[in-house]
Amino acid sequence: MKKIIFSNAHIVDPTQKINKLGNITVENKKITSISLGKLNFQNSKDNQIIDCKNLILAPGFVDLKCHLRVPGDEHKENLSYASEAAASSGITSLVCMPNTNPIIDNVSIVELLQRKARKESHVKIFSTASITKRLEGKELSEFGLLSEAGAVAFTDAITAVNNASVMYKALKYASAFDILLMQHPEEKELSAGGSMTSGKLSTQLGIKGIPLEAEVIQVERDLRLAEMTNGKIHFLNISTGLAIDAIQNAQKKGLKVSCSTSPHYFSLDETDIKKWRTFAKLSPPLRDKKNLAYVKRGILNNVITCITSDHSPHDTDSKRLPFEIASPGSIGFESLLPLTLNLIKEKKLGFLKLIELISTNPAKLLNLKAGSLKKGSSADIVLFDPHKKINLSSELIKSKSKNFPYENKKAFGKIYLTMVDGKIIFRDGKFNF
Amino acid sequence: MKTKHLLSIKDLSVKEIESILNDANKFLNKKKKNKISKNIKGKNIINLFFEDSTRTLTSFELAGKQLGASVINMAVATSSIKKGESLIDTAMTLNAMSPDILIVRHNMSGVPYLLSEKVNCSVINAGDGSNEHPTQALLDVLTILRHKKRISGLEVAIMGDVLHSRVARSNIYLLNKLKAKIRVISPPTLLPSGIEDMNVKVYKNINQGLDGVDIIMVLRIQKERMKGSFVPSEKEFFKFWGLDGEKLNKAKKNALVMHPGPINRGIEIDSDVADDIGRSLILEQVKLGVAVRMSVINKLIN
Repeated sequence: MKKIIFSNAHIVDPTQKINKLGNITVENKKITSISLGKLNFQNSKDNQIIDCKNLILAPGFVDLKCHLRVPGDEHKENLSYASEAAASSGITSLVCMPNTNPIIDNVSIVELLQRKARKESHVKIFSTASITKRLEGKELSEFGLLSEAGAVAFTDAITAVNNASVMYKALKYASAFDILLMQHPEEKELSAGGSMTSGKLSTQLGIKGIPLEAEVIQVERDLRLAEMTNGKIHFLNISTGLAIDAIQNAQKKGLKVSCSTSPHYFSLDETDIKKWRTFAKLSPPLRDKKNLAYVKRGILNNVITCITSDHSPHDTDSKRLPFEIASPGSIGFESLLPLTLNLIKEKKLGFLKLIELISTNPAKLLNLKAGSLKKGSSADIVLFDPHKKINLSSELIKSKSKNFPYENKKAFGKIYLTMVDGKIIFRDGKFNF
Repeated sequence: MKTKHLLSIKDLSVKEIESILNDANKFLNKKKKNKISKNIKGKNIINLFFEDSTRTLTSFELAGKQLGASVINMAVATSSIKKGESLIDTAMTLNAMSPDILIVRHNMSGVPYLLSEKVNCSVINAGDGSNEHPTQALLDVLTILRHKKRISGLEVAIMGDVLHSRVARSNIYLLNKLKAKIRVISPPTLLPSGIEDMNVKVYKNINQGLDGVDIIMVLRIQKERMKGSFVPSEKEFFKFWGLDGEKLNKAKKNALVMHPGPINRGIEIDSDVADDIGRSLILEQVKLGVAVRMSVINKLIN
């Protein structure tokens, strides 16, 4: 196999603290060398040179939370659509949620997904499994067997484990296998029947609200349980300042707690629901402008360390409904980089921080062999222009579903090339499978 | 009217509101009626009610028929729409029959708006979830006007289950546009969040809330909400938030009592008050409802 040499790239790799011009050689699925500075390479029969023209070359993005709808809801998304959408968005590793049909709560479904992924996907797909059987919040799933089978984390997807005793046991039992539990923090009873944040706007739209406190109540309870059990917990889709404060305090105390959010929670707010726009119905619901600012600050202060796509495809029939019964969620792959870049530019956070948030940190959190350009790492690479202006709107969407809440939103970031295990799968707008 | 539909009070200008109410007054007067009634013969109105209703449905039906339109009532089985599965299909099917007006009631907020985006005809919101019931608010205001000759500056108390009430929301928007002073009186568990930012004064105590008001709008409360979920019991609700003669005495001497119906006697309102022909406008509201709906239909169809 030919060596592939990426020359004149602006290399961004937080694991080696590199943020400058350099070159990377890929051979046999691996990164075999990395050099800094401007070098001249010659094409030869052994070499393929890719002149990166100072575009950013970074480890492929690792998406900590997405819904692939496989098995069971293939009318919303399937692995080949999802993998194309991810590849064109620079995402090389996907961590998918277990709320499928059947639910990913047993070894055979994990294996089914892996088998399908090998056949249909060009990006890496990692499965989570449910914390509780059938997502019922009552009985623990087989953490040991499931994690041996390849489940990389455990979560009840978009429902929280509400029973304190079950969550206590889950945290305790998980420590035997050093696995991570991920919780969607939303207190069930306070949020029951609600579909947007409660306040003047929900009252004016006649929609039952979910109070901000539903998030922090669940977070605070879980923090107590994590402290009791010395357990490890990650909170998904953090959307309120209250929860961020609680998590920050726990981190200061030394608890093993981390959290992530998705770009929607720092790019949209409740007013984007306008007149019952179901594309802006998310879970947790969009918050007010104040909390949007708190989420940005949480990222700035390193309380929120990962940004996920929260890719949640839904077909037309699940969205073209009265607001309160429409399914929550939005397409997310295509907007992960552009919306995160918007934040990076607004807050002047720098490219190392960008790659930490969407690649290195999620990979570290789940011990995935990804998120790094160190010599010997898998050659999962993305090449993109962070300054190229784009318009986010549904025409960009390559997923099977098109439930995208952004219309002509200005953002930055264009992907030129995506490589997985040394193979270029996407280049200059074309797939290469 | 500027808009093709009547979905929300928020979409109406004060001028449009006044014009609707003026026309409604004329419809009440047999001599003037024919002068403003436009060419409505042969027009088709469909009442598409996804939620049980007797009075609103009858009122719209009568209004349409008195104008000479043909009115078809469609009560869609509640079970199938619980999932919402056929909602848009139903509307599209009806749309294909080219009606002139679709009058929609649904138990979920925003449905008339959703349908108005899909069909070609005008849509009238006959009540959607906890969102709005614009014709009810218009008829309420017409009723007040006929007795008090003005809205501006009147102290109006809206009392009861404000949380779930579309009548309350439409009235708050409308009375605010017409510069009334609005109070809401409600058990704390039945007050929607953010209501205090909607230019109303909030009272949890009924005696303070009724002190010196001109108009009392009593809302209907569903019985299942008084079994401990929002209020401990019907008895307790009536004692603290139900309108009886004694509490009514806190209001101005000539204060009038309204209710959108159907009333729960002995729960939100005492029979003596409801039936007091000197104070209660409840039946007049029903009568004026037909005139207001005639006025709205008449305006939208032309």
